[in-house]
Amino acid sequence: MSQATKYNNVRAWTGRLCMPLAMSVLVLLCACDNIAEDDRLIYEAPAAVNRSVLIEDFTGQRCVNCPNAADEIHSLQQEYGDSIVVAVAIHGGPMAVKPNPARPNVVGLATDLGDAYHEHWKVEQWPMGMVNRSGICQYTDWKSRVREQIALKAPVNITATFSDVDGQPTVGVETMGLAALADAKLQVWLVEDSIIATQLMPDGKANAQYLHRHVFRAAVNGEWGTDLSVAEGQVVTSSFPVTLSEVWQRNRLAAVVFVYDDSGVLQVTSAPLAIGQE
Amino acid sequence: MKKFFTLFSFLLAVAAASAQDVHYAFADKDGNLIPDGTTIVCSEAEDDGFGGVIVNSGLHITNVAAPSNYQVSITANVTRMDNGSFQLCFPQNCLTWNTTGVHEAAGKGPVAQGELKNILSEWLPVAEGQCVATYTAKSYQGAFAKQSYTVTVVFKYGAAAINATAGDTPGVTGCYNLQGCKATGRSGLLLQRMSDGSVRKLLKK
Repeated sequence: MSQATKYNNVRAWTGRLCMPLAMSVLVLLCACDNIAEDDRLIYEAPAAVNRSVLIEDFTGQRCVNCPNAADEIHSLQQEYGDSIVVAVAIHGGPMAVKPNPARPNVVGLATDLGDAYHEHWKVEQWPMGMVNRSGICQYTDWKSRVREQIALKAPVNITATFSDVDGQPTVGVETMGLAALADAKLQVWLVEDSIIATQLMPDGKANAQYLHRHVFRAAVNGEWGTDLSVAEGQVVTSSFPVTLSEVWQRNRLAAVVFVYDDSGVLQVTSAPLAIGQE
Repeated sequence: MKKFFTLFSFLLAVAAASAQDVHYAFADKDGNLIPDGTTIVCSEAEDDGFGGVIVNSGLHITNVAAPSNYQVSITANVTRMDNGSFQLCFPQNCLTWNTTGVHEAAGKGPVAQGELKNILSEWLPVAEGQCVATYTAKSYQGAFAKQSYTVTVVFKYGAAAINATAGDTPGVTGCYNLQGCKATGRSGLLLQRMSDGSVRKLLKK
C-alpha cells in the first residue's frame, strides 16, 4: 500500500468518525435546560372562592399612574366577577381633587373622609391599595393577594338590600355568624359608579372623559362603622338610613357592606340602590 | 506573537469601551439623549384639566447599555420651588412634594434595553415663578449602585419668570451628538449646550 493510499484511508476513516462525533457533541450541547418547577409557565386556575374580597384603591385624579390600578381591578373583576371582587376607589391625599364651588365645571371626587382614610392608612404614594386590609401594597401585588384572601373561609355571611322606608332610602343588613365573632365592626359605605370626570393619564395628559368606577361617596354608619358581635348560627339584622346628595346619580349608587376586625376584612358584599328609578 | 498582541489590544479596547458605556440616560420624548450634566429649561405650561396648570419636565429614562439584571432609581434634588408642588412617578407609583430637598422616587425599577420610559415628573405651579430640580438616575446591580447620570431642569411659569434671562445672550459651550459625545463639524441632529446651562437642538445640514 502506497503512502498516499494510506493517507487517503486515514482521511476517509477520520471523515466517517468526525461527522457522527460532531453530531453527538451538537446534540449534547443542545440538550434541554432543566427548568425549576417554580419557573415553568403553567396555567394557573383561579383559586376556589370561599369569601368575597374588598379592594380599597387609594387614588387621585392628578395621579397619572392611577388608571393602571383601575385597569387591574377591572381585570380581577373580569376573572372572578364583581360580586367576588368588590372595589372602592377612595380619592384622597394631595393628588386628589375636591369639589370646589369656585370651579363648578371641575368634577372633584375627593372627600374629607377619603383624606382621613389616606391619613389613617399612611398612604404616601399613589396608586396603592389594600385587599381585605391585609396590608398596604402596590397594585401589581393585588392579584396574588386576592388569590390568597378568597381562599380563606369567611366566618360571617352578609346580605344587604336597599329599600324605601317611608320615602327614606335605607340599607338593610343581615349578618349570619358561621363562627362566633366578637369585637368586629360592620361598615356600610356608599359608592357611585361610572362617573365621567377628568383624570391625568399615564401619558401625562388630562382625559376629561375618563370613566371613574365605584367611587367612594360616604360612610353611612360612621367613619369606622358600628360594633358587631355574632354567635355561630345567629342572625343579626340592622338597618341604616341613607342621606343622598343631589349631585349623586341615584341609579349609579350602591352600598358596599363589610365586616372587619383587627385581622382584616372578613366578608363583603354590595347592593345597588334600586329604588326611585324611572 | 503579533496575533496575540492584536487580540490583547482588541480585548483592552472592548474593556475600555464597555467601561465607558452609559447604563441609563435621560432622554426627550423622541429618545434623543440629553447629555449628562446638562441643564434644560421647561416653560411650556399646559392646562391640567382641573383649572390649574402643569409644567412638564418631558424627561424620559432609557436603557442605553445596562445589562438585563440592572435596575434604575431616580432622585430629584429640588433646590428651588417658588410655589405649588412637584411630582415624580417612577417606576410605577406617584409621589408629590411641596418642599425643596432631595426626593426619591418610589423604588427602583427595570427599564429594558432600548425602552423609553416617561418618568412623569412635573411642577404644578399655583402662581408665576420657578422650580429647579436636579434629577439623578442611578444604575443598580442588586443593592450596589454602579453609575449615575444627572440632568437639571429649570421649570418656569409666567412671563416674568420666562423673561428673567431674556436680556442675556447665551453662548455655545459645547456641541454633542445624540449619543452624548462631543461633535464638531458634523451634520445631522446635534445638541448645543449654552452658557446659561440650557440645551438647544440644532439640525445641521
